[in-house]
Amino acid sequence: MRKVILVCNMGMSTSILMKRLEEEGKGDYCFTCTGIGQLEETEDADLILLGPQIGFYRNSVEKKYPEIPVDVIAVQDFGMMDASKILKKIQKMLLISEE
Amino acid sequence: MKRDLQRIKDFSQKAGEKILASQSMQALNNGMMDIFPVTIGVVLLSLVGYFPVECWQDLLKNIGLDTMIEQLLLVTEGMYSLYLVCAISYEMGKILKVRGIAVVLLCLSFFMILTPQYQVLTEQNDYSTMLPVSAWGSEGVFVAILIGIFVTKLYAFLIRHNISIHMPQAVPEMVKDCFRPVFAAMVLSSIAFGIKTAFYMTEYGDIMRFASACMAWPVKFSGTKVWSVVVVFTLTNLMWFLGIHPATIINLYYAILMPTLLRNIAAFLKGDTLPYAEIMFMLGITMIGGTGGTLGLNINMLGAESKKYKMLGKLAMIPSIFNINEPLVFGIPIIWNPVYFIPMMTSTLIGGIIVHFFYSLDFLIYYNPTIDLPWVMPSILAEWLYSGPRYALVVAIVIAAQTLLYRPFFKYADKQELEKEKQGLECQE
Repeated sequence: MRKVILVCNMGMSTSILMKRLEEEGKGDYCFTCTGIGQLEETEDADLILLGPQIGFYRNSVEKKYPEIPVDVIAVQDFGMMDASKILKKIQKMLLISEE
Repeated sequence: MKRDLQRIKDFSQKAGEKILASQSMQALNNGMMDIFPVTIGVVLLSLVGYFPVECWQDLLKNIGLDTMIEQLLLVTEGMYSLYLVCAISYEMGKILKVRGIAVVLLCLSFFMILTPQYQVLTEQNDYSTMLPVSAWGSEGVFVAILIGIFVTKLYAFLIRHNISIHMPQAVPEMVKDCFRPVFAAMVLSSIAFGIKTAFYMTEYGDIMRFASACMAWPVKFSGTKVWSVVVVFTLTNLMWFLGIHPATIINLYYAILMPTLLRNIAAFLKGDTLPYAEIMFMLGITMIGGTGGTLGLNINMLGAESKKYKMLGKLAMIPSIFNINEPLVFGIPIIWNPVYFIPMMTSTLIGGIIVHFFYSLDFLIYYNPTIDLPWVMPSILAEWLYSGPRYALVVAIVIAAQTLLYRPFFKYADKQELEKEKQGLECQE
């Protein structure tokens, strides 16, 4: 079970995406969503995904959590809430981080 | 052209990173969010207590409940700065990794030290020490922010660099650790004392008055002028258009607006007319459907012809009603899309003009500034709660106007999309 944290400004737009990702992920992934100001419980997280509108927080998040890979969700994927595309990218990122 | 565009994109990302994602901004943002429960918790009571029906108000006055509600709101919303200094110092402490309540209490005491005290002659003919509530309301906002950010930073600095009284080697480490925060606290209280005394000697008497006077010009310029709302929110629309979440600018603007809001609240509680009424009505039209006034666009999309807009229109409608427009902004996408640049830049202005029109006709009279609703509260309903059916009607008119505004741009984009889809099908055949 891989844990992925979705972050946007207050946790609202990512919560919509989260439901879709959970259906697409079929139980292999545990998703949580949060706002950038409340990003805390990151102990066993395998990946942190930022919404594109807070992409500029990337460096500060990477500095705060150097052991966890951080990525920004692509604009179109986020807007269309395209869970399958995002999940494919998640899988790719997790494979890269394992190497 | 593409390279210039890329350069602007990179610049806005870097600017966002340096300014918006900076520690102080994060502390300010998070701190203001932390206070929401305090101000939202009293909303229901305020709605009931100030329900603008005369016989209800008379009833409350007879029972004496009107004074009770006034007191309730005075110590929650009227003392905003007190809660703010605690919240910001807590959040700043989290960011700087000085955990625990010690730094919060220290910042609170710093704020208290700077609050003026007066000897007041009471009815029993003896003197009692009083602290003015206004120091913790509109006058104290900027002091609270500065203390929350900088006193916490100073405390963290003192702790981290082991600046302490020099103790002999024989003293065990644990004992030294005990004294470290004590020394930092001593330094900070001395600084607070120094500031307090310094201001006491001046004509202002205390730092809160001084800060009020200093900020008077920018607050007067942007915090009370009605059209500042339109200017600021057109700027936020631009940021959103560039793909940067404008939350920080909005919070900064509300921080500057705080003194104005708090003065409105103080007047409201006394039963006076609001000194800055029109600006409250202006604030309601700034984020209809989300930053950029996109509810109008979403309504248009329900009548779309292309598959993409049909699908997006349905997908984004419910979030739009709750003023969340990420699906639209990133899905169409609106960001960096020249087709939607003009309506994004003018939607707030149109809303402002309509509100100003009705306000100058004296159509909009009543507003309860103590009502604080989360920004996801659907429009029209929110406006009804703030002010009543008249304001709800005006906002409905604004939504209609914004729908008309977006219509030609949407129609163009829809047609383009339909053409693309048709060509796509032809290619497959």
